[in-house]
Amino acid sequence: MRSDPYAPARPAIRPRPVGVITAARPRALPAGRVVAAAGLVVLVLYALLVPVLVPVDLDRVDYATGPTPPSLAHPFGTDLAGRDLLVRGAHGLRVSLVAALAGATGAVVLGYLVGAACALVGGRLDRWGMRVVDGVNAVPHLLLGIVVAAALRGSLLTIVLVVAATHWTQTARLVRAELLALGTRDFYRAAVSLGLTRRQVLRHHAAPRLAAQLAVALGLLVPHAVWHESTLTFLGLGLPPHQPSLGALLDLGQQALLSGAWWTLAAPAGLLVAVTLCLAGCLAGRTEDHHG
Amino acid sequence: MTTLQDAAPPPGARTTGSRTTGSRASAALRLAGRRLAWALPLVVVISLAVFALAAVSPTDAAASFLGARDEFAGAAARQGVEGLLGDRHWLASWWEWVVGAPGGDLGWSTSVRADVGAVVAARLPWTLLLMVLGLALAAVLGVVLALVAALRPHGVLARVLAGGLWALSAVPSFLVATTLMAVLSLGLGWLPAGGLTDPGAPVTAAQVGRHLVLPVLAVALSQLPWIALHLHRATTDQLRTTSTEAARLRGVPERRVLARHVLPGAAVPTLAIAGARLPEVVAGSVLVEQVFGWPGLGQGLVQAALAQDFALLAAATVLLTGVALLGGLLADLALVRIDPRTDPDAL
Repeated sequence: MRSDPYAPARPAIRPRPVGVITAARPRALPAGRVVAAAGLVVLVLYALLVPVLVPVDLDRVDYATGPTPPSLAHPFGTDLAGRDLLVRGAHGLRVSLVAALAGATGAVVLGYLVGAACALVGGRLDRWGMRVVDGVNAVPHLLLGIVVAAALRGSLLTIVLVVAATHWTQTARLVRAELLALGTRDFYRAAVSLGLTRRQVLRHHAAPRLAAQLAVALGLLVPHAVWHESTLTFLGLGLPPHQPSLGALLDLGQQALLSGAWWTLAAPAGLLVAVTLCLAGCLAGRTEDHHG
Repeated sequence: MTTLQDAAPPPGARTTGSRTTGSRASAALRLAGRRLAWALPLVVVISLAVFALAAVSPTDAAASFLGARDEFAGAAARQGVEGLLGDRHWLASWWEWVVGAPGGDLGWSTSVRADVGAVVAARLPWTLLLMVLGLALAAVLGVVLALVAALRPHGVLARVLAGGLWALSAVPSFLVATTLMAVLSLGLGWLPAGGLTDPGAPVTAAQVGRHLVLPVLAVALSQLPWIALHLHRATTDQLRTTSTEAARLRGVPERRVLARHVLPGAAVPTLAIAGARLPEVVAGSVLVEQVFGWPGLGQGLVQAALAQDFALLAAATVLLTGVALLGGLLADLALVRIDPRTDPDAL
């Protein structure tokens, strides 16, 4: 068999890719990423600046104006109560982004704690921890959110809690896998055999690697958290209607749709999709199958 | 020639040798048993969580039962309602729910004012119908789009598709549903905007069929991106394998190459993901049901949550989770059936 002259020759060492070519290869979609990042900056500026530049009493209604389609005076139009949607959209984006950021941060912190505890303690805690992770993953997140929101009705804190409670599992898995993989690496063993304490090893070798991973995990969770907030509020279980989050605006927009005011739905819907796309675009290439 | 082709293993398959069909079937049965054994404690924990949350809920159960009539209810009526709702520890209520559940006694729904078992039995079939049809439509569309895009990788359609699907994946399913409703129903007036039938009309196949189109389309469109994108990648890989090339060189007709050599191989990674994606399909159908007023379990769940009807909420949550788990099991069993490389004991 070994002397078969037709057998393809197998090099002992895998041929190394030529360095120049791999180095010169551009990262995936640089143009797309720039556009997405620029879009994100514009959206955040819009959410931050418009409420400051156009101070409007959000509770003031103007039935004399009523619903008007987008015009120069009101670029996004006005809703059924005559309120400017450009301003309300900015407020809504603000509320939604704050809720999403807080929820995603909570989820990442919780996931980090659980994952690190599982990996570092190991044994029974690890087995049970991973079982809990599987259990939370098996239940549709929205259902968990609906149940929690049904009991603890409508506040920003509830939304943050719901998002954190349902989305920590991905991070927990990631952190645990990363720490376990670290234990098998040569530089880790070298560090241990050099007599470094566990704390030192973790600080020098684990922390920088985990920090990068956690940043990506947070970035991926934020659009998902925006989705969760708007969905729960849309269903009437999230933020109260007087707090103009994107979900509340969408809910009002859907009701206004029946009277033909399509722009009341289009404005918040466009903002929601734009935010999701820009966030996803910034992380394009790293997002593959990371989070559903 | 034909016998050789038929005897040829599916593309990329390794023959498993010692494993016979019998032991594989029993391994699949073991897989099903293992999943069911895992579902049981999960159901216990979920129901416990719902009852515990109901107990810590700061809202007044009697007030939410009475709704708008709360302010007109006298002290005696209020006491009656409070007695009806019971002032027991939540663990006791939970235990009663668990003991009654196997016999079909799931408690009394305070929002629908009917037996929870009857409510669930009336609603679950509509949810299943919507989900199965929606997923089937998404699968058919996904296969067609993935094949077209994979066969012409530099065509206009492939490019438009990649961007379009990516954008579509950013649109939440309730927005897909509302947009469909706005355009096809309110704008063009082609289809009814919601409900199971026209108001007052009997439940006939023609009526339900007309009202079913938009919800099914919404479920299909919101699930299409991941199905089509995964299938596309897998199909592209499968088209490049030597076994596909060999089948073409043997003169196998192109249609047969695609149907027998490319698609089964491409379905494997997609099916492997489908199991994990099913909870999201369930969540998506809950939203679609709510937008279109489709009388399924998802809409019942949202109504129960709004009315703080925890008996119905617990039953609906457990059942919808069960649907997701069962769907995941079916996807994995299909995977075992299609791909001889998968080991049922490792799933």
